[in-house]
Amino acid sequence: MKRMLKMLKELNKMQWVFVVFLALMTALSIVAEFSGGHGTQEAHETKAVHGDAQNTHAAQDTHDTHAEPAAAGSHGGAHWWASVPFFWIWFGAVGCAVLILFGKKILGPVIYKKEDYYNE
Amino acid sequence: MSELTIPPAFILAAGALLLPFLPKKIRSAAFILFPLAALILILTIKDGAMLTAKVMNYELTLLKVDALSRIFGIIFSFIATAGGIYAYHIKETGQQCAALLYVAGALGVTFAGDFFTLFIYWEMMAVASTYLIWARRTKEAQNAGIRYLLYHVLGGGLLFAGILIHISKEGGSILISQMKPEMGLSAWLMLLGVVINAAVPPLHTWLSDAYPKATVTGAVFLSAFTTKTAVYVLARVFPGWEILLIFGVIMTLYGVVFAVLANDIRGILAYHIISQVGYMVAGVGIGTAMAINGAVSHAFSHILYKALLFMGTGVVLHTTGKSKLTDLGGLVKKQPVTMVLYMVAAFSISGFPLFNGFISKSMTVAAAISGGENHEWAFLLMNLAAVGTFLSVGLKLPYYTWFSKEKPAELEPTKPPVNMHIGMALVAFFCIFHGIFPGQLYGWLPSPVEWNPFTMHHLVEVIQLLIFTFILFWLMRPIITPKAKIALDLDWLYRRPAKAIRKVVVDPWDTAFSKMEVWSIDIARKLTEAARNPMLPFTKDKADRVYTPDRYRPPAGKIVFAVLAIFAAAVLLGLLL
Repeated sequence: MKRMLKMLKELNKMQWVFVVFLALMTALSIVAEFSGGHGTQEAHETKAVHGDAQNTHAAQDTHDTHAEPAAAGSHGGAHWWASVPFFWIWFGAVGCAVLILFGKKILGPVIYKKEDYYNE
Repeated sequence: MSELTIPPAFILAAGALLLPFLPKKIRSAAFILFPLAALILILTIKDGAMLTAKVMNYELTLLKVDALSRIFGIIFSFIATAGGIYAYHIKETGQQCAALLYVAGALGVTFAGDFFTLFIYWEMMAVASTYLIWARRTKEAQNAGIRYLLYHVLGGGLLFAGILIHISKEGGSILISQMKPEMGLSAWLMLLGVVINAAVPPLHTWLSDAYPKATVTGAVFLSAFTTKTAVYVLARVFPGWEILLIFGVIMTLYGVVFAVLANDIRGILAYHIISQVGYMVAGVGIGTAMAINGAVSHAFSHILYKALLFMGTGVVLHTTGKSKLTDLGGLVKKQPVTMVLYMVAAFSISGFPLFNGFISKSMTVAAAISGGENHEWAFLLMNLAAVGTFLSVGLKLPYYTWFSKEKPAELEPTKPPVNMHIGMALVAFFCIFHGIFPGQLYGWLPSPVEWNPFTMHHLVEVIQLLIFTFILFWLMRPIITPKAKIALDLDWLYRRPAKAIRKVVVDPWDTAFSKMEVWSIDIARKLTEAARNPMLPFTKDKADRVYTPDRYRPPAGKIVFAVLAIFAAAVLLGLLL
């Protein structure tokens, strides 16, 4: 937290504009999430469309294409994560941290070698 | 629509053959015009157009046009044209010919109607693309090129073995058709051959090894064709193979994890080819019309933005001679145009709204949980890979190349040729154009599309993911800071023990053959000497190497004595008998 505050203090004008923009976008996305744009109802509706429209494995030879319509609308609302508040915020933050920590702290120490390791 | 039934590959192959004979001044222009002619042909040729030729007992289908082959043909020939503009300043005919032949191979595979034709073009690609690595003319590039070629020879061999088994079976045909897992060995061998070209782990190391070592132009071309041709063949022959979904998702994550560790800017992009091709492989594995459309549209988008990414990093390498993040930084004021054009590609690959990655990646990912499919695990893991993509290509690479100022020495890049920026701008335009007007791309897809990426749900999801990836990157910069090291990959399994294997397997034979060579030369030398003077072994004077009759002719008395002795012996023998 202290580091975050220190970072914020070090920002210049342009960077502050960017931070405000990010905060605004986040706020807007949260408002959109809870104002019905991202609700279960929409997802159920689109799922019905999916069920009709998109179909079946592309079983026929893809030489004979232009078969059935391939999909419609949105996705994901009917799944368990739809009921988790701020799911994609958590997912983005935790996912990013996991990738960095796994790569740099777990995998890195094992597989990092000097640049001339293969001596080419 | 055109009545012409010339395979587009012929135009490129003819270009590769003609180019060395053209005047030097117009070679670079011709290098652009051949793929442009192929693009025009592909855009105008009729659906269903075919060209066959009888070779021995087989009727080869050199050209077969449908929606799937057309969309790949369009993007292949377009990116070759843009690549030609980007490389206009290159005056090396060998590289230009290899690039044209490589594109010819890719177009040949795309429009092939039978397995033999496909295989011939497949191998043409392998050989021509290897030259684009060797053309860098460093020891590293030379070694990586050999490993690359060996991998592709293996892949081609497996593919050909599968084809031969397939056509020798009862009812087996050389015509390209869909394979099913239950079709046995032939189908699995062919799949193995194709997934090597698709860089599916653990058979991916040729890509992360060779692409960063290729020439600046070579890397742009390499990023577009080999893996995407494999995706085309997978979509054509192996749709719905569930194993591809599993391996595709593994690919998406494998690439992003290694990209977090990579220090070479083109190494990061190479790992992200594996990751992005993973989405396509997964889409083919899901196999629904929506998923195939997603895989194909993502291949189209990927070719555009990945070529642009390699073009951007190519400018950095061309102008600074450096490609490692630990050697770069603070270039934004010196290369603002390159940075902006690169960022268009970075936003595209990260799936930003209004960029082409947004309209194609989302279709593939959503296909995992749409249309009766319910692969929630695949959906979430592919979204996790999207986080990693933005992290490495959209944040880490540009930050440490153009923005970071923690570098020991100030870089003074040279001015890049203007054609490099023109080529980049052309590709960037289409990255944005397709992102805003997806209908153009969707209209070329194999099946009709009703997917709408611009829903509130999707926008919320993407915006939240990207913003919080950015925040975490900013907070965790001290951890993600690149290190001047290499991250070992699975090629360690054959590169590290190579010395020991050489000592055990190669060196003894090498020594034995060397010794035998020395011995044979020695024997030959001695025989030659003996032939020059057969008397040498019987004389005391070894210095007298040349035979002279007078020197070795015995005195006349000795001869007379010998004749008389023989005569006397004969007479005596006659009397006794």
